[in-house]
Amino acid sequence: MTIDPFMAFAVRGAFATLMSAAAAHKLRDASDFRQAVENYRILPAIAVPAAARLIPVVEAAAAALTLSGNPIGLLAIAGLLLLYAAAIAINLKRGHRHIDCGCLAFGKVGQPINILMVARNLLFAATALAIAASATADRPLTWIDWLGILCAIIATALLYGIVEAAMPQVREIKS
Amino acid sequence: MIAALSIAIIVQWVLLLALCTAVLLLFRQVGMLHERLGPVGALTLPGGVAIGDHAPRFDLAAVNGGVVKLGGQDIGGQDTLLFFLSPRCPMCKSLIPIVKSIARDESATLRVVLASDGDEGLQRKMISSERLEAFPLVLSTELGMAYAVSKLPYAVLIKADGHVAAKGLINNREHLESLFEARRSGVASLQEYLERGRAPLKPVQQRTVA
Repeated sequence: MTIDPFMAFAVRGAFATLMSAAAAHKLRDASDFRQAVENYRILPAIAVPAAARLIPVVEAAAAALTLSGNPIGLLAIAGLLLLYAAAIAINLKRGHRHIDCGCLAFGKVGQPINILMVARNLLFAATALAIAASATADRPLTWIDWLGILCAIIATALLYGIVEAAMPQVREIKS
Repeated sequence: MIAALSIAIIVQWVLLLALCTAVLLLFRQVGMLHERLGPVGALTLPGGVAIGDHAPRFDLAAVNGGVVKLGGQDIGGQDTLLFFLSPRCPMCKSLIPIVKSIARDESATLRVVLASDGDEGLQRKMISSERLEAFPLVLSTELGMAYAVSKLPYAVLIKADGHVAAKGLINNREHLESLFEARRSGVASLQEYLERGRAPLKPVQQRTVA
């Protein structure tokens, strides 16, 4: 499948933004994130500090690779997202619903894990894989393309923020 | 043509980003509002029959005839909304349509009893002017004293098994609905709701949960 470079760049940019924001957040609140990893109770206790330090580095590296146009970047992002989806799904299955998801904005809103996060990660991973597997059409990009790509990335980030802000409220209204 | 399209695209991107930002700010604002606004409910005045206690037994003659039994197991398995009002209270009149609408909505499981005291002539006038013929009206000072009703309009929700589910001063629809919410959730007051996660404090005034 061949896709337009506009789409390819916009999706790559959006994923790179998501991953770098996530990495920055995890590096800033390293101790909170280590606690979150521990609470997932998937890794043996001895491996937790190393994993907590490694994950944001992998995220940042994947973001950088994606921006450089290397398909390994998108594959790494898809892998990370699927890993998170599996970790969340395992804990939901165990009945640990009230652990901090450790996602972007973890700790701040104390967002507990839920099934929609698994669905979201699967959807994102599928998108990343689809873009990674597609060839990019050879179309010269003009300045208006670049403007559009930039704006599309910002708009996607804002929409992500909107959904994140709206979800706890939807849950609150339901309960 | 190209210039026109370019300008149109730029303007649309700018507007789209502005719109997204506005929605994001709006949701954050709503989130903060949720945090600030706790549940709001009817003011539970101190004294009288406590929530969770057995409602005292009363056999009272209704103004329109018949006997109204209050307290104890309800024969029809219905809950009872005891609504205290007075012909001299303008707020009570404004709440009558709300009481009627709740009585209609919950007609299968709810019996509405109006309670007042004083001049029977005025009460009869109120019944006809406010079209309250469908509800029994009892006149009893003892009933008001049993529930320590010091301000009107006041309502008490008694469960079919004879326990008091909720009570409080009613000034609007939300207050009245909060009594039903208290019955549903089993949380008698806002204080009780808040104290579930905190050290208990001794409240002077309690509000039902809305």
